[in-house]
Amino acid sequence: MEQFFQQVVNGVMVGSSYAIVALGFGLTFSVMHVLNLAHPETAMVGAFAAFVVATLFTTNLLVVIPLAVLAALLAGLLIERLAIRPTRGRHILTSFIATGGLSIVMQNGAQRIFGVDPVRVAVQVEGVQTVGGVIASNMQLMTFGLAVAMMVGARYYVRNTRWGRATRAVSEKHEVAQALGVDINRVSQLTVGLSTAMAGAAGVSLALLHSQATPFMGAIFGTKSFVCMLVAGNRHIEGIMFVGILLGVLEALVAGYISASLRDMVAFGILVLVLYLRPAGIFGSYEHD
Amino acid sequence: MAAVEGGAPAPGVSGPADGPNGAGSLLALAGLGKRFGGLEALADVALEVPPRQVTAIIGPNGAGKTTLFNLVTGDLKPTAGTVHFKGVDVTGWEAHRICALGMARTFQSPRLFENLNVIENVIAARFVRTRSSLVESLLGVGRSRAEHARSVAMAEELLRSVEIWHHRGHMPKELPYGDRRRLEIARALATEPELILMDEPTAGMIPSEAAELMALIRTLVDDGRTVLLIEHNMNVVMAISDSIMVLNFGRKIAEGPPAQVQQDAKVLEAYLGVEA
Amino acid sequence: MPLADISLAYWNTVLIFAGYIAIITLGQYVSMSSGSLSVAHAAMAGAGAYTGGLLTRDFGAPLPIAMLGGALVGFVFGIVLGFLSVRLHLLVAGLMTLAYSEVMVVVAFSLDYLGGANGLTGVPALTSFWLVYLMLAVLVLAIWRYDTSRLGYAARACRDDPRAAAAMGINVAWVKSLTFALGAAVAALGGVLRIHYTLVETPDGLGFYQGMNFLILAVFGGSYVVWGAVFGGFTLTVLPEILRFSAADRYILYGAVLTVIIIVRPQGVITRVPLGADGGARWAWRLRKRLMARLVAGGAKRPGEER
Ligand SMILES: Nc1ncnc2c1ncn2[C@@H]1O[C@H](COP(=O)(O)OP(=O)(O)O)[C@@H](O)[C@H]1O
Ligand SMILES: [Mg+2]
Repeated sequence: MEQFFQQVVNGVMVGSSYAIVALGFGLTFSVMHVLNLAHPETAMVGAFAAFVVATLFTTNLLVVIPLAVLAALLAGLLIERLAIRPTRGRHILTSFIATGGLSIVMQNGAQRIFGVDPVRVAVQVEGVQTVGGVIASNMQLMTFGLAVAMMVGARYYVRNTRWGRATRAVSEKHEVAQALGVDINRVSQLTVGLSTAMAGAAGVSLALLHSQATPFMGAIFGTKSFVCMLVAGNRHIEGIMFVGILLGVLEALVAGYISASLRDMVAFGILVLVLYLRPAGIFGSYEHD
Repeated sequence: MAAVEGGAPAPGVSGPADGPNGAGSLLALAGLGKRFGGLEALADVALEVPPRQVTAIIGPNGAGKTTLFNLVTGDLKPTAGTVHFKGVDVTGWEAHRICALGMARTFQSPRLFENLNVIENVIAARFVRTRSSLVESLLGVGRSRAEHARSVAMAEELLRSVEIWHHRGHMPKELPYGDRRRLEIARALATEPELILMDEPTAGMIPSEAAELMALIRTLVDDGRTVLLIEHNMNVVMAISDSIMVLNFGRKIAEGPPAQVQQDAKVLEAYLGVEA
Repeated sequence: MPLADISLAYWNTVLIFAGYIAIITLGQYVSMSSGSLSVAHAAMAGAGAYTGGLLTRDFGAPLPIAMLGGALVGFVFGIVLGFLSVRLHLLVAGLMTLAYSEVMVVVAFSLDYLGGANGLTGVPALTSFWLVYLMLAVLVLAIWRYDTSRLGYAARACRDDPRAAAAMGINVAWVKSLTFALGAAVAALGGVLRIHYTLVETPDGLGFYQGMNFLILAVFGGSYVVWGAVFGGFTLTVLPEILRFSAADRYILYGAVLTVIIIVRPQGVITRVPLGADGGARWAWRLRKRLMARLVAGGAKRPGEER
């Protein structure tokens, strides 16, 4: 039983990172109607930024995390300018390929700079918390706290701020929002920037949890987040949080009790199951007709 | 406008049948209704459309006119009532089957095949009246040659009759708005319909264009087709319709020949918002 | 740019690769012609490869029979998948194909008869340069004619506006499923040719990353005209070979080219009507049209194009 709860706790920690990346996917999709395939690469950028800062300058988390988030944010703004803005309002496949091309560039660019092998991110947070035999490291708790904070922040932004409301207006209908004087380019930047900054934070979290970063971490990670977003629906912040954490937990349990090699199949399993059970229902929010 | 030669009603399916809902009418609606969640867009509409006539549906915006078209053509499933077409109960049928039976429509804002050129838009609509298999088409044998030639000839004929033949090689997005509507009409006629439903065909047209379109509609009827028309332009409606149905808030409030409907107190109220 | 290793054998290999990749991309093109979004065509090619390989290896079937068998299996998988996803939203249907690909990977992985993780091996070498290019030529011609056939027009009507297509009497569900399956069959045929050249088919070749690759090839080349698929499959296979950089550099360039081209030409490199209606493009278009008219007389002339 202890082992079970331990797996659950580990799963929740990883899953919250899935959820953060999925949230950005969903936010960008619902506002800009663009599938940003380069989105998970910004998590990778965040992870490598953490590596660079920690190796060259300082391992102080209060410096490492903000700089990593900043790097991901800048990468996101670049993606927005290069591939999202020019493809806005076009067929979904256009943005798919434009951002997919950038994703290939980013993966291989990182490989060119840092090599294929994982690099070690040497930042440590000492100490663990133990509750009834179940252990959670302070590092885990910290990244989880970060994820929750971002969830709450994103929710507040979309619901309660002026720009958040403009964002929602744009997500309904671009022409109408434009007629009402909303600057769509600005909303696009804000949305992608916010999404990728969160992804950057998730990337750092992963780099810290696993003490490493690899050029292709975005690809694996991104697929799973994408599935979370699809299963939960792109507009449901709480739903994405829930599905992300659920996926993390299921993966941990499958890896712990069945076989580690099946871990990466869990996401696809969920996807197939959901497609089978309610093929149309959950995706109602994808109609943009 | 030239006479419409191509696209006569499909052989063997012409002539009204004596359906259960009124002998002699081509289309018969009974108790037709549609709810969208809490909104009752259409309720308890009965209508008889006699063959070889122009029947018009008028009513303020949001009255449910387009919804009625969507129900009749199988685009939406009604939540109440029945649709009989040529005596056949087609309630809940899929749209393509209803079209195959001899009904075609145009949309309120034209929905063209944007990646086919103008004449191909018309040829694509020949699908329902042709039979050749893919293998025949690939090898260029059997029916495929004759069918293709006939489809092309008919498409050209139709484009001439709606006077956009000079646009035949253009893409739809290159056409002015009025010509997009004409293309939609040509495309609908290519399916050889007995009944054609037009949703505000003169919207966005200048008076002379609208007049030409009325003439076209007249030729259609003279050629034996039946037209069901949604129209805002009262000049058009009064001049061309044999009978008119008035919808308001999803319900039929008046029905009859133009002169009679024009005098109807409820219609005046609906349109002018005055107590008559 | 250095052009290394211009040996004939090397280019023979590259061109055969490009040939069957172009064939599989043609399959993607046909499936997309009715508006389906598929990342399953690598899995379809894989299904064809496994089927064809088993037929020649274990049943001593000649290659034509293997090709037929492979294409048939592709067709059957395609029609099932097509029917399952035809009523779904574009993106969801795309996901369905993703899920299908991953299921195929697991199946290939876990069936010992199919060679498990090592893949199917021991297949005889039966594919030659000439065979690949003969098949490519036949398929291009057939698909070119398909585009102006009754089914081809109906397919593109479904792609542009399914609602209007249905109102014009086109059975959208049937047309979309059928064309999806036909494309799957073409991709499977490419798979049969592939395994009889590479002599091995492994499960990971069926996954959705590979499938996404074929989608990219078709969309990049241009998914509204048959030459687009051929162009995409061919150039994106040969180009990296010509550019002799390190693998990473090559992919960086590849990704950058994808992004730039799709923004400049959202319908892909090859489009029906030149997008930039400048003199040069128009001239090239007319030349192409004239050439085609000479090369292949008859049926496939698009109505309204000349006259
Ligand atoms: N698909 C739909 N879903 C929800 N409501 C709809 C739909 N189609 C029409 N309506 C609603 O039904 C009412 C009637 O619309 P419509 O038939 O388009 O009116 P008209 O064509 O007479 O202007 C309107 O209130 C409209 O908003
Ligand atoms: Mg209307």
